[in-house]
Amino acid sequence: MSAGALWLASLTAFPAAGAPLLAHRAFRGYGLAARLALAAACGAVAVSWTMNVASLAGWPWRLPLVLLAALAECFALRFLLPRSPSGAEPSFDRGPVTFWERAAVAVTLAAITIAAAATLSTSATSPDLLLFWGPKAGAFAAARGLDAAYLGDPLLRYQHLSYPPLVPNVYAFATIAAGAGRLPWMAAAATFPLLLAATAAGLAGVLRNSFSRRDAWIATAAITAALGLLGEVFDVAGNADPTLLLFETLAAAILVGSAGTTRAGQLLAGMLFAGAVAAKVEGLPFVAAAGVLFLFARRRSISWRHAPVFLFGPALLSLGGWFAFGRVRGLFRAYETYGPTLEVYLERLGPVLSGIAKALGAGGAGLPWLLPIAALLFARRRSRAALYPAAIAFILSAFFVFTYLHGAPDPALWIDWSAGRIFSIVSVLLTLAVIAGRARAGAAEETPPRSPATER
Amino acid sequence: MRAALPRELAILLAGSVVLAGWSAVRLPPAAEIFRRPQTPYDRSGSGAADFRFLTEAASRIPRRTSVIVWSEPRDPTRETTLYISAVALLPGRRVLPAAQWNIPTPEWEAEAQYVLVFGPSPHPSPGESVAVFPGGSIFRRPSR
Repeated sequence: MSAGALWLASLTAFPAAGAPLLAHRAFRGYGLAARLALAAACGAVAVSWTMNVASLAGWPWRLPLVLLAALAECFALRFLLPRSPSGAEPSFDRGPVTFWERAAVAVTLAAITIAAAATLSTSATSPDLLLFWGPKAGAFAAARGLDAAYLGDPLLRYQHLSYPPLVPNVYAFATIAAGAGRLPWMAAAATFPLLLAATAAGLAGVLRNSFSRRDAWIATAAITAALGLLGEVFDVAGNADPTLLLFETLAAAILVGSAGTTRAGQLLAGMLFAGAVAAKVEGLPFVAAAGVLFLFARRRSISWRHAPVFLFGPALLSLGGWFAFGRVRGLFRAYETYGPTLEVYLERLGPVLSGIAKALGAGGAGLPWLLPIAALLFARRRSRAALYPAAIAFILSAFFVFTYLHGAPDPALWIDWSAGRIFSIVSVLLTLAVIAGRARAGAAEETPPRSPATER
Repeated sequence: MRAALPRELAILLAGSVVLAGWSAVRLPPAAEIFRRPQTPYDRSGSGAADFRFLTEAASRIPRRTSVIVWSEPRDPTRETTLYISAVALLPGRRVLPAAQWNIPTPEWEAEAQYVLVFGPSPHPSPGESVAVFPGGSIFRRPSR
């Protein structure tokens, strides 16, 4: 077996690590494929967190121990969930699959296949894979830990030493497991279609838990096709964007639906938040916006004793381990910034907005964003439930514009290479707004989730 | 008979077909998709030649040595890119920059044990020739 094949095969350790949590009957309603995807996501969070803590303590990474610790963490999380009264499956949407549902599944599978073909033909490989994600992973694998000497090398400052470590950790884990002396680059690029498939599988299961099968599968098709095209156009294969989008998309899908009001849903969303903040810097504003708006929007239907802790606790632990490592080793205290926060160049607003429009236009003529906006505008049903994902989309967009108003004297190049990728989540959120808006006003809160864990 | 699809869902589903179709149209011909790529960047950006050159060089330069990468003719913009790629593709070696942020960094020139030259061999030679292969050459500096 080649090093690349072994590298990819070793990724099965992540669903295995997350399985103890997702095996809980509270998540039964999501279906097997979605639970596998969610287990992989939670497993990656637990493995990466364990790797951070081990490095903080000065212990070299030993994969069996890392995996066992991650398994134990995910098992321990089960005890935070209420005992389920029954494991019965819900009865709705059990009818035969309709033409439209079949069409949605076909489009989803086609989008994943096309993303795989784009990756295989090297049409979507990210330059950032070679720039910093890959070298960091290789250095961590060689050092069997977060390599403080490497991160602190002033010559390597361009590799953004404070960028969160989940993706380099995951790649390093697979590199060590494969016994490869260096990162198998094509295997790392292949994570793009794999993560897109995991996002689609997780999304279909999570949305079905709260919305009709038809709505869930059509939303899944729309989001998968959009992320597939954007990934191909903006060259994301091998970088951290598909990982971030997996965590963000699935967290938002849980919180948009009825599962968001349950302890199980909040804990799962919290684990996905932890993955988002550990995957990329943009994960932090997403978690802040999605978490705070959720608490506000569902303030009457959640337990204030559990919800904030379940939602933000894992993310705090996730970031805490990384920043503690940075502080103890004298590397960094926070994320590097693009200039002082309040030093905003408002005179650049026009060029920034036109630069963003141009960048988004390069992604399928802007259709990944325009289509859900059109669907929202022409929708027959628009309940207030659409406001939650739409508000996250608005806040994130404003934050990205605010960020571009900092730093570089001419942000045109910066916008050109990053806007299409960072605005991808806005397309996802707008599509979720369409589906959420189709629910009767308040229905998402009222409808019990398919899982039996309805205790709050 | 098929139940009509609500407008918003029809837009999303029809749109997803368009987006998937758009992705498909961007793909190279089928025969090229299944041809084993030489590098992960054969069709992305302009890094394929650098990738081939540095991968070939990696098999000829011992670990725990120091290396600097030049372009021929010398060009700090190219050398910045080559440095970044060399850090990724020459693990286990101390890679020193001939340029960073498109600005020459001559202070590192004398430190390197090996000089990789992307392009034709330079005159005068920066050291003893170790290998010449498509894309460039490797020179070893006399130990001081």
